Amino acid sequence: MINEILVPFDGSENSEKGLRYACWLASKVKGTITVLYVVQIPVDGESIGLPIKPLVDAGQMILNKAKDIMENEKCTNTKFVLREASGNAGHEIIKFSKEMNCSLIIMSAKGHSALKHLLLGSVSETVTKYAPCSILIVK
Amino acid sequence: MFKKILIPIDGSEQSHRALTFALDLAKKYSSKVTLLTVAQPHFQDPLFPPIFTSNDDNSINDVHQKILSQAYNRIKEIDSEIEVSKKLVAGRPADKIIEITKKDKIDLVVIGSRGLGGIKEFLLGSVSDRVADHAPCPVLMVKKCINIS
Repeated sequence: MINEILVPFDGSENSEKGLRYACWLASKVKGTITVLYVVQIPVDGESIGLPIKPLVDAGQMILNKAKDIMENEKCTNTKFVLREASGNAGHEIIKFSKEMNCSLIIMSAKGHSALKHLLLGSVSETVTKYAPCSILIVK
Repeated sequence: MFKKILIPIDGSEQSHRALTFALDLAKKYSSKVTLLTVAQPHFQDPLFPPIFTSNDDNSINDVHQKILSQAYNRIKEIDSEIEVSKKLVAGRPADKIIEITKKDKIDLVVIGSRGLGGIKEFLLGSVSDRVADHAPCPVLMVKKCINIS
């Protein structure tokens, strides 16, 4: 029932937790994991001459961090994807989940940007609302 | 890690999906399953007692018992070795689910989500959202588009 698992990753401690949880789950249900990092580009950043490359490079570094974690957890069979999007990363995550037709999204309740008093961060809130598939929220 | 799975059900199609999804996990991890229905008693305002009173709290109870036993039988049909316990409580659904999650030290809540989205969800509210917000453990929200194989 669970075969394709999508794990949005932003490099925060919380999202590492989500990644480890996904590894553990995938090992039992024999699913494949796709780790997604969304590079958030300021709206119209390119047209006003903001350099995008450093952002993409930073994203690649964060994905490398995810790769290290996956190797530590001995979780093979994993894909790593980097996407660029302007605006809320949540919408890009949803777009991607529709494209790959995943059966489960695993994400932490909070990532980087969430304020302390918020229970769900803005990205995870967007994803829980509009995701086409089931979602596991890790605390 | 999934020693105890809580499945709140209300008899809807979504909660059936959640049940199927949860059983799939429960079988793989040989976890204990708790079925929970929350009966919401009629709102009674102490200042303005209802004009038409009916003693149908009993019938509410009956309906929920029926939902519970149906789900229970379904589990036993699929796999008779899964350890299942039934629970029926009265109160506000989201609050009670969270309370029981804390009290019983649940490892995972599998809950159906209608996924109304947008304005509808803002107006109607969502039990699954509240549970995802406040539960101390991971929450799996099962949406409508899963393909049950």
